[in-house]
Amino acid sequence: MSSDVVVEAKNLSHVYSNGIVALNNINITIRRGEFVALIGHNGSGKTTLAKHINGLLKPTSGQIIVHRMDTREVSVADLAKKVGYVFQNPDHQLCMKTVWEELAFGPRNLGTPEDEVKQVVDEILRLFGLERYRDVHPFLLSRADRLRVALCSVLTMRPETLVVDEPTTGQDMRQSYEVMEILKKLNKEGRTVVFITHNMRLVAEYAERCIIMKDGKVFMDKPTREALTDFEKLRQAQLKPPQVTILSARLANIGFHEPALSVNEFVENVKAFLNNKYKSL
Amino acid sequence: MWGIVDKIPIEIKSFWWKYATSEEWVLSDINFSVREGEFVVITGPTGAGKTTLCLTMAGLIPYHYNGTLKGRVYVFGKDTTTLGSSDMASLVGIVFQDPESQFLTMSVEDEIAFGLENLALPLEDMRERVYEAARLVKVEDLLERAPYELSGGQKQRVAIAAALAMKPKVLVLDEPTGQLDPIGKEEVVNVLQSLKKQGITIIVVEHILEELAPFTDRLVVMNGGRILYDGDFRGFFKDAEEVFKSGVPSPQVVELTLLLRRELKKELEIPITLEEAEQMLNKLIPVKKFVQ
Repeated sequence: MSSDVVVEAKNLSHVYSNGIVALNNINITIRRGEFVALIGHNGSGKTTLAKHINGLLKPTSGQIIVHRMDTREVSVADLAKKVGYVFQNPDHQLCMKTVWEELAFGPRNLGTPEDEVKQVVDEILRLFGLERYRDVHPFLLSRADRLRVALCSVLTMRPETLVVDEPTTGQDMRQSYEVMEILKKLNKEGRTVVFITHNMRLVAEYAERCIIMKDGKVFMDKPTREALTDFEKLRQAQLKPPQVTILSARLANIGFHEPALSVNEFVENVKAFLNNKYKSL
Repeated sequence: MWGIVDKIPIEIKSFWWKYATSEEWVLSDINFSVREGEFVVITGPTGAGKTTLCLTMAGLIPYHYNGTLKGRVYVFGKDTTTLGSSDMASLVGIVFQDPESQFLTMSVEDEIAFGLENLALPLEDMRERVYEAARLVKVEDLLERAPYELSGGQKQRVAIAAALAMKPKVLVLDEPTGQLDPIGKEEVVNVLQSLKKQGITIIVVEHILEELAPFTDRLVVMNGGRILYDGDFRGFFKDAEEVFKSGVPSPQVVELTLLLRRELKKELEIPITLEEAEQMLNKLIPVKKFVQ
């Protein structure tokens, strides 16, 4: 395994105790610094796969190597030093009486010396503009802020890899973009980010690569542009490209051969197109 | 039922509401009415008061919640504070974001029949209503299945069928597609469109407006417990500044047109559907003239 591989699933399957095959022979490799969207229909196995990356679930056959550790052989606590996992519902992970304590919980559990805990917690609070909430009970915050606290409480453990399950559910569009911008920043700093979402617009604008799940299998694993412009395959996976991508495909007959993934890209394409046309007159 | 034919389905007059646990008004001075057969979309940032307004229209506020109110809410001319919950249930049906939170039984058929069981209908009528509701949302082939086995889109359609079985005059849906994959969303949107054609009055809360745009009669934008805009869909997106300030995510076709207007310094009509956007761009780019 080359040193920059952070996640490697080999013939990974997971059968729940009721017999449901949630994951069926998954083979994927994720490298350091990647920004990956894990997408697929409801019940396709996205969350089950994500929970294998942090060791909350273990393969029932096959294996998954995460930061050089076979998840069956190490504790969730050991994995937590490397992989941060943010739950779909922030209330499933918040457990302390103040925001400050919540953020300190993870590093304390990892045995971090108290002066370092204080340093990292204060730093992350500052980074996310949550200082004013430091003594507030997490459950008194809005859902959007609880999600940010949940994310921060994982970040204080300084994980190299972040797995975020539906970071934008229950958030409005502006809040969704705020969360994605945070993930982007963390990715730019060198962290590997895997996020689950149904919002294809966010996939198009942030992910470099899409792992598309369907019925417990990896249905497609491609760079985002390639994945989101294969409309037929997307439909088979119960997914749809962003509206602007559909629009640019409809305009292919008048020369838009580069499908746009975002509004900005579309507008740039139109401008370039008009410039070229008029110049060639 | 009680000569409701000519009455306005929902009429809210200077309504204010504060939950027992909230410090400030969650709804402030709401004046809002819905006409028969209208398809109304409510949007706005989280915390705007959209869910509270849904609960109010369905009579669950103040019936099931403690709090303080001012003003009046009328459903077909009746003050909701005077209507019992069973009367309300046959006038206004409500569907929530998470369909599983309202499932209670082990089969789709029982789930759709659940509310009806309280109406003491003859068995035959009940069967008829369950089948009719299932057919309207296209789950008639799933009646024997367990709700938890269904896809997200199917689950939400079952939840809608359960509300429809009560034959409500008005259907209120609070972010019915919020947890669904894109095709599940499309399924629910198609069902809403066909219910509109049946003449059912529909009020739906949504964050993502692209798919609803083509058949929305009215858009209501809320923020901070107040109604910021109440009018036709296209009208709201005319003023780029206002749209940006409201935090409402425009359909991408709107967003790109506003951006093109600024970049190209051209007056472009705002499209609200893919088809309109295609037409607008075909005009903007007179391709035939310039080819080679």
